[in-house]
Amino acid sequence: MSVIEFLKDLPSYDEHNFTLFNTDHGIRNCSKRPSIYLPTKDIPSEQIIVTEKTNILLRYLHQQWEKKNNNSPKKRDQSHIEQNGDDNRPRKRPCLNSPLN
Amino acid sequence: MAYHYVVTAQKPTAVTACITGNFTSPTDLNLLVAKVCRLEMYLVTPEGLRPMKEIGLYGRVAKMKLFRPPYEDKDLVFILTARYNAMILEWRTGSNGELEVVTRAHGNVADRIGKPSENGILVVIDPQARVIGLRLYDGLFKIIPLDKDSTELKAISLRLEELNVYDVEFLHGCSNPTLILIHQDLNGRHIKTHEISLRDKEFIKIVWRQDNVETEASILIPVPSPLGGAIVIGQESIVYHDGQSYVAVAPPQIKLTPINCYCRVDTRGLRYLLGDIAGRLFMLLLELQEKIDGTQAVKDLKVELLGDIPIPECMTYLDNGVVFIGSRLGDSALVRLSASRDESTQYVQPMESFTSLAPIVDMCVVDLERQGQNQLITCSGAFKMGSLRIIRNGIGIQEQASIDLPGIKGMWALTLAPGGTHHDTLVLSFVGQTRVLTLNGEEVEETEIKGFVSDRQTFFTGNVCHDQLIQVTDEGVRLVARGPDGWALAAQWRVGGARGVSVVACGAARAVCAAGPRLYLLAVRRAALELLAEVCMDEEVACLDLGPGGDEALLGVGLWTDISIRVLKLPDLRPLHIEKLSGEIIPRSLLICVLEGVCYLLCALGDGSMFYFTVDQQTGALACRKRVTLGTQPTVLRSFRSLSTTNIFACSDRPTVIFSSNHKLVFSNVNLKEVTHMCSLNALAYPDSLALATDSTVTIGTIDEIQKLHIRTVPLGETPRRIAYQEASQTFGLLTMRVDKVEWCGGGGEAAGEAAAGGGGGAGVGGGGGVVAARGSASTAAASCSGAAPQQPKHAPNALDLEVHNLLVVDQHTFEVLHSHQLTSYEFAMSLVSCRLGDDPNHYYAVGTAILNPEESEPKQGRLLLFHWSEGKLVQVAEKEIKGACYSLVEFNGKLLASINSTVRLFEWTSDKELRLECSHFNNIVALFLKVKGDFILVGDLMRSMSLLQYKQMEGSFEEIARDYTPNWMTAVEILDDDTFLGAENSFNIFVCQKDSAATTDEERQQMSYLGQFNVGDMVNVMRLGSLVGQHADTAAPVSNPVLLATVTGAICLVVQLSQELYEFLHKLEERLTHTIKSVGKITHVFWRSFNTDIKTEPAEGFIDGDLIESFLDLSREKQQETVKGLQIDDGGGMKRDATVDDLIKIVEDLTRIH
Repeated sequence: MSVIEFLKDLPSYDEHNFTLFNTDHGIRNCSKRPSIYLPTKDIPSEQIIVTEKTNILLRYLHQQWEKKNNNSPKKRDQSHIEQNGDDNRPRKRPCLNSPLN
Repeated sequence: MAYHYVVTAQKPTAVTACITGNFTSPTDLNLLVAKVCRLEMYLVTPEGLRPMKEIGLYGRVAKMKLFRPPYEDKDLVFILTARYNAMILEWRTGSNGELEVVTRAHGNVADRIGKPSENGILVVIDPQARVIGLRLYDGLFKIIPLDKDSTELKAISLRLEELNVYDVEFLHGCSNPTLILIHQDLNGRHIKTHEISLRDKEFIKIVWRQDNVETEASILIPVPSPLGGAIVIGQESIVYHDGQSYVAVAPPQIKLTPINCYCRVDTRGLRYLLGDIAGRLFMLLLELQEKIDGTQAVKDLKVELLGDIPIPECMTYLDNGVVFIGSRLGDSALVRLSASRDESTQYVQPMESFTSLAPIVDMCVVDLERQGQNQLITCSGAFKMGSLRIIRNGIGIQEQASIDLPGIKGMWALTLAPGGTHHDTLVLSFVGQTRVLTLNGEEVEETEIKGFVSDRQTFFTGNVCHDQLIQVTDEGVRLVARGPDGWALAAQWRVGGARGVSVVACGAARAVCAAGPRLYLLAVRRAALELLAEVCMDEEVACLDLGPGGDEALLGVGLWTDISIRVLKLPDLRPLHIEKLSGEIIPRSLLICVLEGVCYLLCALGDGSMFYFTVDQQTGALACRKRVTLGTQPTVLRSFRSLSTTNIFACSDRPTVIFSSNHKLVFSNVNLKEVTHMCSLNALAYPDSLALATDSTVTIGTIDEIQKLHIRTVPLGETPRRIAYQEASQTFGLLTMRVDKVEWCGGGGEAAGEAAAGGGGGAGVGGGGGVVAARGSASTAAASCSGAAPQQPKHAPNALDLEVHNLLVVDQHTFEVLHSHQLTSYEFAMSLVSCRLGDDPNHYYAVGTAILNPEESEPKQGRLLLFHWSEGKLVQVAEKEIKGACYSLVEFNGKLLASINSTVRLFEWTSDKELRLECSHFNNIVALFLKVKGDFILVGDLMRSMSLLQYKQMEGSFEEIARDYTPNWMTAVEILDDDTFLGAENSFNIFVCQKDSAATTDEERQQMSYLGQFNVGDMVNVMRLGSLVGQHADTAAPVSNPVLLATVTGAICLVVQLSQELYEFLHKLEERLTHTIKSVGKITHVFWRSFNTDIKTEPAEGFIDGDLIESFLDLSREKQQETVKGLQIDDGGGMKRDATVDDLIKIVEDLTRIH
């Protein structure tokens, strides 16, 4: 297989591109520099990229816990709480000096 | 306290990423190039690449990828910076028709904990733009699902069980985004796929895997649908795999050097370009076969070598066979693939090269032309792209021809041949006479033009309308036309009154003459001159010029006595504007011209200073008055065209070219001592040239491309490592490294012979031993050679490549390699200095080496070599064995100071011509850098920052005076003044330390205190005292102690010291500019410039970001106004007042002229 086959029908987006490129005087050295873009207009960005701060292990444990929870819904059933609605005191007291603000 | 200003003189030139896409509109084909922290957008046109916009980012681009969501009609760009700032950018045309960059999304994706991957950051985007994947930390893979409706894009980390990932890609044509990756474990490298569930945000299954692919497999190429699957590139083999079928080939061409980048050629994904680290381009072709079910499958992989390219970092296919090759190790290039190969058996033809200084390994600052202006000679590039670059601020004239003719008062080029398009005649005027020279090819003959007066001084001559010539002398105007017998006088206008014509301005159809205070406007008609208007000015006319605009052009007039500039309008010479110039120096030359669409009036005075204004072409009003000093003598301003732009030449004792860049006037020195007159010359033999007259000669020359820093390249073909200048012998010493190929004795004879023939001038060094130069390069092509013959090193008998280190002696004028001295086979050249030792009057090159043994953790042996170059001979005058690698050498008090592994040692030069160890200092890990001043030595350590030693001359010992105790990994150090030291470390920061001699306790004295820290965003390889601006240049900016910094990416920066007042003022301006200028990608300036290493991040201090300050000049007037509002300035007398825009422009422009 010759190289000709490798190089035939190279893709063309616009057949005119590079047709007027002049290499008669040897290799050109690009001296033109693009002008500098200096944005002064505040264009708010549509989206903010936020990175999840949760540790993947914690997330995994949460997921597992949720899964388990979904599998045994009876324990914390809404109706179950309502039935014991007269009992105002929760079984666990909130921890007031929690380290997680 | 010390205050510093850091500014980039040359932006980074290394190309780190490039992509082709439709960015600026759905139909535009664009090339986007990333150069470290800058993005350049180009448009592909029939004429080639057209630059569109350049953007500075507040971060180093780690990865840049394009993608196109299904709802977009053009491509978007995702960029991740080295400090984990992610952004999605869109280029679009704003309401004012200007291109603008919109940050569509941004945010930081860094984790607080996590081990950054040793293989670097990897970024992949799903081909259907559903999700972006990031591999930042080992064991984790971050995904950013792209959801266009949500205001928040959530980056979620997934656990990736493969720790050591080499490459990752998304496969095409999968219903769920599916990753493919190469990873390594104890058993080898494997490929594996992971399907991602975007709903559950987890990997759900491994679709397929292939264990034990090639051990060096490092690149994955996903193949587009309908084929799908991926190509795995290894060191010796290429594999296509799609889960079911597996096609592997081991093409012999790719075996020698690893492939490091690729680009896809056609959208179907059947052809790819591969580039290897030796700078060779291959094409990979997938050959298809039809399966029984009618679908296509890969049958075979074919690889063909196409030819040589720059050593690539990245490449991208543009259009019609044209490919952009981005390089980190030298000039990037545009190349064309063509099926018809040229003589050198290449299917690749270079089209355009993009100058790059990267990486700058070493440099020296030298005033070669002794004009009080430094040049920088850098060791740039590597391997076959190694070169010396001569960098000069200003513009160079390349002399083509010169004629000895003293006393020239004026010079003009004419076209006499009928229908001629080139100049063929040069008219020179002298006191009392005019001479005409014909340019006949390259020859010049004196001739006459009939109708011209030759016994008077010509004030102006030129081609005017109706194919006529005009000549203006003191008696009046002569119009010369083509008659039946050649040229003849066609019309004449004589000035009336006692005063003769003294100044003139002429266009194609109009001439304005001044005699005393009287101005005459003449129309040039066919064979006739007609007086259109006549006015009398208040004072005598000193200089004048016609602006563009034909019949209604503006006329600028400079007057004697009242020292004013008047602007008049044709055709009735109506006065429009009067501008008084302060002072008593009369204007001597005036010019009106349009540069980059802005009309300027420039007026040079008799003392070498110049005023310039912008001109309103309708009202004639002058605005934006500025003054600069160009020289010390009366200056003549002439405009000329070069490379299709108009520029101005200021002829004086310090010739200057004035041009417009980014709508600012830039003043650039020219490498000529004095020019009295000049004119443009575009003759057949001297196209696009200038004729320049000095007191005694006329020189015809071409002018360098207009740019502020001028870079000349001396290709070496091998890696330059150190450079030193020796004025006494008018040479440069240069340490270089070349890679020779080792050929096997058995059966390799033929191949060796072939390679030697290909290597060209391998004579003298390439000889026996089975080692041959890979190609002709500086050290093998030297005029003479000496040193050891290369031989196979004992420690690596099987190595294919052999690094050969040389000392080259290079002529300072021609840059010709005069001599090459080769070190022994396992000896590395590490350091070089030109020195004069003790009472010995000779200047020597001292070379420090290391002898490498791969079994040792650090070199245990090395040599100090002393060479003397005189009368074309290099003589080794001394050799001293040392116990380690000599990283740095400096001349110190007539002795030789060396850093050898962890020690700093001083050697004296005895009367028996021997190097004798005088004293040593041991308190470093590896003492890499040494700088000296007086008795003080600054040592830069590998990982223990900087320390200061003092040499006790009486005792003959070193004392450690002070040290910076922070663990900085140093890359360069410099002494700014007696107490202040500048250091650069390997996380791209620079910092300033000070020794505190006045501290009360010893402990405090021994500790260097921090005065400043700043992230330059680039690794500084070398620092040298000095600046590129001539000492005589008009540096009104109050700055001192300039230091030049050169970086891995080819940038050159300047650090100078500022006064506290200026620092505080600029700091306020800097703060305001951070609000005026909105950062692309929404990274804050504070974040970008903060001192950041693996262990700490602290806000920048003590440094002004000159790049930000200078961008003030690029702002629109309104924005400048907005920025300045409320800023207080010292009026010079200690009183504060509100600063005006013009105050700031002046301050900032002065600062731009320091580099």
